[in-house]
Amino acid sequence: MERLTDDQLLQYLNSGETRLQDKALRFLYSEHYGLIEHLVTSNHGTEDDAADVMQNGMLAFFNLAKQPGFRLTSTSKTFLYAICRNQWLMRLRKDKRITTLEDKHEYIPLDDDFSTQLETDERNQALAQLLDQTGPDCKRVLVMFFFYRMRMEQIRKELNFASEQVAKNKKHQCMKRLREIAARQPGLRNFLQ
Amino acid sequence: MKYDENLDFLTLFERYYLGDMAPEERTGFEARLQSDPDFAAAYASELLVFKSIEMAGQADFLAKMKTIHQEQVPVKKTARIRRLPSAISWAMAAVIAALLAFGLWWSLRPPSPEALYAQFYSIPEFDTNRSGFVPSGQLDQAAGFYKVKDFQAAANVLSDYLTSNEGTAKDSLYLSICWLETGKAAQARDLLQTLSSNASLADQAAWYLALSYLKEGNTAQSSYWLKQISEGTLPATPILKAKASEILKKLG
Repeated sequence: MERLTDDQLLQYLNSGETRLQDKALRFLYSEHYGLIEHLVTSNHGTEDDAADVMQNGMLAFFNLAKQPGFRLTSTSKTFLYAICRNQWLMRLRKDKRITTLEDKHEYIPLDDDFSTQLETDERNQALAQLLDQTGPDCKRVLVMFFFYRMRMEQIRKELNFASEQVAKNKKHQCMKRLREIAARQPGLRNFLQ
Repeated sequence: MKYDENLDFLTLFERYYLGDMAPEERTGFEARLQSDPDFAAAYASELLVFKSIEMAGQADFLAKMKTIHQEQVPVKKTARIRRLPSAISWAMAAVIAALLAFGLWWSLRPPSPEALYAQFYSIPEFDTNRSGFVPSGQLDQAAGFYKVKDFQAAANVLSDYLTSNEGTAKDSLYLSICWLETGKAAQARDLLQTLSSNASLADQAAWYLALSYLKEGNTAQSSYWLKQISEGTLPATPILKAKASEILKKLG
């Protein structure tokens, strides 16, 4: 597997290209899973717990990395470790009333905003099912554009649309459909408060 | 103006959500969210749409992570295991398969009468309460021996008691249990057979008769008495009927 520097890693994650994003995610996973497994299994967790923590940590890392202007203030390893450590400690506090961890790597504390973001995400699971109602094609287009931050030209290539304009029209139609579905479920707004 | 139907505003909302605004434009947008309730409400509706995509994206991402995990982690672990020569591997696989087949056959085979006896047999509790009857010291003494499972001593006391007192059908049942427990099966069965014509204890008597035959592997006699219970030939409680049916079913 090609080794990536931290700059390359961020560049690939933000490339909006499935192939490069995949390469970055696989590299990050294979490089650091062992460290996270060691952290979790040395602190009251199982290998399955370690896999959960790693996968949620990767998601948090990706969500941060795609924010405009995001810069790593430490190495990607230290940053991912801090995210996973935070997640595991939150779970231990909740499930087992344990409040300290034996660290396996240098630890940088995360700010409170980030911890709050993780908790809020848990409450929003019901929203994910809203998009399913638009059908698989719409789901792919909208997830590619909004979640993976792919450009329309890239979406055109991946989904074999005749032109970029056709891809844009599809996205527009799908958004309209999703708005109509969301409008029929006003109770879901409570999730945003 | 209806912001939520205006394409320009929808594009603006999208750019804000994706972070595609310069700092000044972003500040202006946030100021308008504070000052214009209609604008804020329209953005809140659009935010619900963005969030639903975000959540679906997260689910897709986590599924991708699981795939990466399955591809990468098992490879690391199996790499640590030294491969055995294939002949040994095949021999081990054959032994494991044979053990599994034996285990399956063992677990699926019908239970033996002895096993069914062990599963269903339990002694009834000795009840010394008798309506309109003052328990004698002998009865209490027999109950004491019975309770500590000294069935020989209990049988002796009960036998003496029933010779000199009228006693009840229950006392005779306890005596038959004591005889069953001390290996006097024939004697016990004679008494139980007499009790099987007693309306209040017929099912209990038939039950212990059936179990005594089951213990000896005499499934024909056991089935006869079990059917008396399950088919309602004798008055029986629903629980005992169910138990009798279950044994009959297992006996095939």
